[in-house]
Amino acid sequence: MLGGGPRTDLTRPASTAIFAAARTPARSPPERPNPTIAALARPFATVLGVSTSVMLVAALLLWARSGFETPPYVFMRGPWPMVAFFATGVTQLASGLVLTIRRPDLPVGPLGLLFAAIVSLGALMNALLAFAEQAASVPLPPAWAAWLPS
Amino acid sequence: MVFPDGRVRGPVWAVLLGLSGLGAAVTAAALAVMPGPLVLYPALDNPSPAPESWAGPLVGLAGAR
Repeated sequence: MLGGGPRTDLTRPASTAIFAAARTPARSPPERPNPTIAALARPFATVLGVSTSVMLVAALLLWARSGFETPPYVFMRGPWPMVAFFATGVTQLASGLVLTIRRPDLPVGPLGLLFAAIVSLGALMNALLAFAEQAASVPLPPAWAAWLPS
Repeated sequence: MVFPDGRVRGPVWAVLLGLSGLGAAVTAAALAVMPGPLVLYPALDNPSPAPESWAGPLVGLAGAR
C-alpha cells in the first residue's frame, strides 16, 4: 500500500470518522491562557456587558416613546432596520460574553463585546434621534447624537 | 485574520492587519471633521467641522467624499 499508513475504510459513513476524530486527543495540548489577560477578561466582560445592556434597554425605551419612529439614518426605511440593530446588539453581546468568560485566552470574545457596545451606542443614538423628532427638548443636541455613531 | 487561534498567520498578514487598522482610523478621523452634512445623516450638519485647509487632504486620503 502506498504511504504505509492505516487503510481508510471507505464503506463507513463520514460521521463515524468525524466522531472518531473528536475522541482522539489533540497532538498539542490547549494553550494555557496568559494570566494577565485571563484576570482582565471577567471584569472587562462585566463592564461591557452591563454598559451594553443599559444602552440597549435605554434605546428600546426611547424608541418606544417616539412611537417607533424611523430615525433620519440614510439607509433606514420603516422600523425593521432598528429591529436589526437590536437583534445584532443582543446576539453579539450574548456570544461575546460566553466567549470572553469561557475562553479568556482568545481575543474574539472581547472583540465581540466591543462590537456589541458600538452597535448598542448606534442604536441608542438612533433612538434618541427618533425621539428628538417628537420631543420639545432632548439631553443631547441631535447633531452630536448623529455625529457619535457616524 | 486571527481566526481560529487568536494569532495572525505570518508577517504579511500582520502588516495587512496594521494597514486595515490605520485605514479605519484615518477614515474615522476624516468623517469626524468633514465639513457639511454627515454621511449617514444627511439632514444634519457636522457639529465639529475642521478648517478646509487640513480637513480637505484628510478627507481626500480617506476617500470619504
